[in-house]
Amino acid sequence: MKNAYDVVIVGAGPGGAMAAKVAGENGLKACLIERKTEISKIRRICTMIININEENFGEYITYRNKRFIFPHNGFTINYDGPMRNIYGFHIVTPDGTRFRLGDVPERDKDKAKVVGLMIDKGRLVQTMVDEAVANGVELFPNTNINNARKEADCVVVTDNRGNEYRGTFVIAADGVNSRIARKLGFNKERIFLGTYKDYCRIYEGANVPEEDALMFCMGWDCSISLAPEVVPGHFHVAAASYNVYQDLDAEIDGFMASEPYASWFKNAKEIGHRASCVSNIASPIQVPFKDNVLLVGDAGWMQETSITGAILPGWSAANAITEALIRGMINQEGVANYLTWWDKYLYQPHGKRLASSGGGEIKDFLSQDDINYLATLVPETQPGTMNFFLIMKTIGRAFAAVLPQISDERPDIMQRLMALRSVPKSVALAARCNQGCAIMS
Amino acid sequence: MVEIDKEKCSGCCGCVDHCPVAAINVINDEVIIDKELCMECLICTLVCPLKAPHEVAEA
Repeated sequence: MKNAYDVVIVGAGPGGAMAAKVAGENGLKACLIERKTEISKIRRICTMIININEENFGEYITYRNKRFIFPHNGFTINYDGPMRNIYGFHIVTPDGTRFRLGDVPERDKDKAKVVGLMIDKGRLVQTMVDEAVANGVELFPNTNINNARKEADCVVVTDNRGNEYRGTFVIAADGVNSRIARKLGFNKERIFLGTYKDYCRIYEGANVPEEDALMFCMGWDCSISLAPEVVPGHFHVAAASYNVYQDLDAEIDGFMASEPYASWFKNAKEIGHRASCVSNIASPIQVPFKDNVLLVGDAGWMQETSITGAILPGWSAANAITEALIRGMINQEGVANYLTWWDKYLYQPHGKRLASSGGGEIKDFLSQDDINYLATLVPETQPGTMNFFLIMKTIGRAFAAVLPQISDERPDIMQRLMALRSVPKSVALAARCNQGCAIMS
Repeated sequence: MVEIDKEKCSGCCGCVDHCPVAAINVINDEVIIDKELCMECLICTLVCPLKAPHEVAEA
């Protein structure tokens, strides 16, 4: 039987939209299926930042001539929307002390110094989808894919109205909670790492110092973060937790009532709660391929690959499928280029490490005073970066260097840090299971 | 019976993703529960950060 499409792409986020753009340019018979009607409206929490001028998944993205340029892989993405140069990643302690990776004075010394551009992600995705459609890709918005199955010569995905879409290949770009991954049995070997609930309120009129930074506030009962929006003068305050029973609304209220935050937001007006997000998090998949289905971005990963980490696999997967079709190799070997990319840039450097993480929750071991003390030990601003993996490495190195000092000055804190680190993986995972909801089947 | 409070719902689709029987769909950008399919397992009420899905008495 003849398949309806060379490739069926499920999910019009950055990964799926990129794959659709490439499928269109490469002349494939393709369709893009998305459950939202208004694709440009982003409803989930996202930092909306693209890493610039630094290595990320083997690529060095830059922005010139109204395009994001991916020179290592050799493609570009048009973008002519609003942008904001985000330079800092700051950890803010309960007393307001900041541990900084990058700061605005450092950024402004050299105008060429850009590590992260905040964008209107909806506009970026819409631009890619429009180009795909202009190149003949069929778009099915307002369509929920609820099932997927393998047949002898194709993969069939089914929507909420019972319509079937048959593809020689399927690209599952349906996000971190990918239903396709579940339906096709990708998750069987994965380890459940928790459920992460995330809620944010957007404000206008706040007066936040050093505002072009992402701020992670430590010492609270859940993760609290503050970040600017791409719209000037807009900020969001987010609360996130691995405990689904925690009341995030109340956590934000408590945080906002404390100083210095209460002063920062004294004259601010809440203008919405754009994003809220629930994610089922599992260990990364080693081989994102099964039965001619390719997982891209978060669908094969865990929270989260970032926009860059979705765009690159979307690009690579669609090109690999094109090559497989040309060579008549409708199998794993046909798309080997994609699997090699995934292994080299995602799984080997990051996936193996993430899959084996143990350790306890900071809030269970360190008090607000402990955290205030720790931040004073590294007053120097660390190099600015928006590469998540480099951020973690930088923080680790900075604090590893002051461990002897902590040991001397505050052996009690040292002891608690060691206890935090030595919570076995099995215990940490059991706690996450009790506080979350696994949807592995 | 489970219903979604439209005022609270942000459309993040967390409940859509978690529903074990795909009873929750996004139709015209609105999250809607199919009462015929719903098993009332209540996972949606647990995963929503905004408490939009909630249990109501049968009419």
